[in-house]
Amino acid sequence: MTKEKIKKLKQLLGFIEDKKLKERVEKEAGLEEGIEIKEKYNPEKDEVEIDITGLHNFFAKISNIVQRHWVKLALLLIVFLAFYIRIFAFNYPYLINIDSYYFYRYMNFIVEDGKIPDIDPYMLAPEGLNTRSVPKFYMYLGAYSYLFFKHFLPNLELWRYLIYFPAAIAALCAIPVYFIGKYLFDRKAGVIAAFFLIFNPFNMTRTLGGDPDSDGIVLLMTLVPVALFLATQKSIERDGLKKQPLLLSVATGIALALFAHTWGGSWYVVWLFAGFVVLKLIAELVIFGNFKKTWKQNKNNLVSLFVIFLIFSLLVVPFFGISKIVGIIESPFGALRMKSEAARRFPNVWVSIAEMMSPEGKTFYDKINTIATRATGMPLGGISTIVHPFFLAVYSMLYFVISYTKRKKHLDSLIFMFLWFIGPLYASIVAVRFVILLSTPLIVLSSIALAKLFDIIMGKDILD
Amino acid sequence: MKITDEWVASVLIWLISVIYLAGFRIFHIFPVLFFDYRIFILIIALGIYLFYKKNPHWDKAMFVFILFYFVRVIRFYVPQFPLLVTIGAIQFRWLFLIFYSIALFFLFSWVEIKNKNIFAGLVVFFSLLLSVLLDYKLVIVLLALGGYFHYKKKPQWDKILVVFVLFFFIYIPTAASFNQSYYIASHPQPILTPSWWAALNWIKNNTEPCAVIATYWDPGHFITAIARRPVVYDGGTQNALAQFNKSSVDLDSKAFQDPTMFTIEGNKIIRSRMKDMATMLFTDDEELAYDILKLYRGNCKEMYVLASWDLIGKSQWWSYFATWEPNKATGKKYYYIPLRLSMKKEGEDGSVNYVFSLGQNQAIVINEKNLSGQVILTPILKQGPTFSKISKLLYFENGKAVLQKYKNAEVEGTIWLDPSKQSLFFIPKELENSMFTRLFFFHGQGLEHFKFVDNWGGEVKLFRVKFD
Repeated sequence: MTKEKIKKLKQLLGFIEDKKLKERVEKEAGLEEGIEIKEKYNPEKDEVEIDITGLHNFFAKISNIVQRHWVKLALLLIVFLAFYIRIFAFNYPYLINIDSYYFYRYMNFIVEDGKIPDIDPYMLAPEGLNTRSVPKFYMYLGAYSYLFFKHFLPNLELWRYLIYFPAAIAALCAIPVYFIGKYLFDRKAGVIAAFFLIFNPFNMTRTLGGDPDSDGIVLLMTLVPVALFLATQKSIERDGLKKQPLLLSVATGIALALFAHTWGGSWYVVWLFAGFVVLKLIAELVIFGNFKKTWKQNKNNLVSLFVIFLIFSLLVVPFFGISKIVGIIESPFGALRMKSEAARRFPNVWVSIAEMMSPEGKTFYDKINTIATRATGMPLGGISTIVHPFFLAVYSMLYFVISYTKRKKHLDSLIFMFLWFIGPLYASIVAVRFVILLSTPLIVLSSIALAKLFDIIMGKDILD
Repeated sequence: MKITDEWVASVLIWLISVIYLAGFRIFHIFPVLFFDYRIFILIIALGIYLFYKKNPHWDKAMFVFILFYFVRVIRFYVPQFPLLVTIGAIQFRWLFLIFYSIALFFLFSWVEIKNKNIFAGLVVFFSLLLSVLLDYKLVIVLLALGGYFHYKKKPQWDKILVVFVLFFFIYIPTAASFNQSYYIASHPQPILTPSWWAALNWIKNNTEPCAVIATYWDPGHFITAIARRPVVYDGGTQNALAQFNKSSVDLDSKAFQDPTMFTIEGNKIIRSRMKDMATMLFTDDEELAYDILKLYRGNCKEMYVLASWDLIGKSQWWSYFATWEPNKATGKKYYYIPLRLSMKKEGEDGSVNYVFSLGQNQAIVINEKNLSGQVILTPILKQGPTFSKISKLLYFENGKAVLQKYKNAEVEGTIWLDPSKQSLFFIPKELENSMFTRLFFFHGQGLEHFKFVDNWGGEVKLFRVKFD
């Protein structure tokens, strides 16, 4: 280092106002000993770049970690907060919801007897309920995870464990929804989606600590196959149908089957996947006007879908019978007739269940408002309507349309989100309980809108 | 690695925050930090400061940041110190805002005097004013603006606009979502109440393990899991049908007199559990209720019926299902009408009128007269200028229930007046003799097959079915 350079550096160090820090920097930079240091001065930016050890090095490491792992750190924070917020106010000597006790009882069967009995003696007296068709994955997950923790905490009671278990399940939803946002748009959208999903009031109500109803696991088990399916699509797009996409297809099939072992309404994800592949095929056939080219573009997706369904069937049929597959095919039509009272021998209880009611409101807009309010906790109306998540979702869809029209980008995202958004929206108009299916695509789409807005502000191309 | 002032500052701020927080009860502070949207405003303010100030004053930045932390933490803890909510007649909140604004004033004045920036002075003035009038969150926004104008000699209006648009887009959905979620999480509303909990534990400890508990479907999972007793149906089996062998049932019983209640398929008899339980609650024929219950008893010598408070509001549905006819594909809904006392008025004749408003120009009035030491109550339906007597009134006198019937009454139905005369139920004629009314409101008085067992908080009432 020349004397001139040292002089210049000393001048620059004048910017550091803290005396102690200045001394330390000088000492560690070895200026007094005349040791060569790595320094760069950028006169245009008027900045000093110094590579030193000690305090700055510590900061450097931390900032480096933050820069490189901000997504992981953000997700970790979101998961932790999601878990914490769901349990911090719980202060009851029992579980709080009715259906929670259904799952508690079945988990208790497993904990006490090692399995769920074939006939449940408590339901449908006097003969009891045949449990063959009961989806049991969640119950086994709860019971076995409880036994795992009980190993370390011998005094842990099942009901007390179930204060924390649903909160943990809900918190974990942040991870798959992050990947969904990432695959559909980018990492920012993923993190925002994780944030919004976890703190969505509609989801919050259903996933509080001490309420181990199935809503949390249904959400998680919806998100996992969707994330894996989108990963499969990305992988096919990138590499064609090689080992990784095939493994991802198998994983999607397994996740989908586990979902079927969790919830009776899981059929809609099967339809979502099939609908996406078929609609994409049709859309590209219309766009290209060439069957051969379309077939070439979509062949791998169809094979992947076949693998998914094959694995799904292999894991579902032995437990529920072939009727489960038939049921999946019939379910969309049956779901819309759920409240029908005509041509029945006996009354239909669904007409009396609040969640099966049509959304309140005389006009179509009123109904949409009811749905949007339930899904997001924010009513439509006033100036804030333009930033309502429902409209943010609409902006995202418009962006996908324009982006595809102008740049031939985001066709997959457009088709997938269209199906994932429109289907549950229509179902929600029939019965408000289906808002639970709508809230996730709404959150993903509004997160994409915010991520895009951020990009625009940062100067990126509006259509990119 | 390139180290910029911004990075050093960010890490420092976070380190100090974490150390500061760790010194307190960290979990109690977290909601303050993360579930209050005002923190985002603070972060934006700090971001603007860092962005435009090339050599930021870290000491000042951190001072401001920590000051805000204190503000939030104090605000969080204030409700936990009742003495601090008010000081004299003045709300602590307002005093706090005044002192806080003065502190801000000094902080900014120092900057303003040093730099002779008139705009910053104006910002301080409006901050003071608004903080007193509204809330300090606006002060933070203004501070952010002040910081921007203070350090940026030529403000870039396009960037300001963009920041505001972004803020608007992020703030509104985030705040709406956060506020509600935090409220929901901090106020969990259990459906299971202490009365239910006590009742279910009593059943668990005092009844035969095989005893079926019959009621509407809602509390089914509570009963099976907490009381560990079988139920007719529950939240997972509301639409389930029941099958009986023809040979195992008495086809001459009242349960088989109405053809809409069952179908015969070969050797099997199919019934709707919902229709059966709804009919059991709705019917005024005790024998019919008893015969239906017998079908679900199994081999156990004990069986119980639960009548609970929540079934009052659900009467529209159990009456609907009980009266549901397959050829019409509909039923009839009947409601109990609960009313609270609106006012108590002295009459000209010295009587007292308890007025229970039903809406505009409509009310149920209980007229109380004292005739030679005897209290006489008369229930009247007021509709505009018209007054009509209601046929029955159940009230309490010296702890005993009295059912008064009125001749020539124009309105059919029963008034159930609570002992404190603060509330009543109007029971329409279709429901006044229903099994539910007789069980819940009259504790099974006069019934042969239903023996009152216990009552938990007036919310849950248990009856044992007496078999022949």
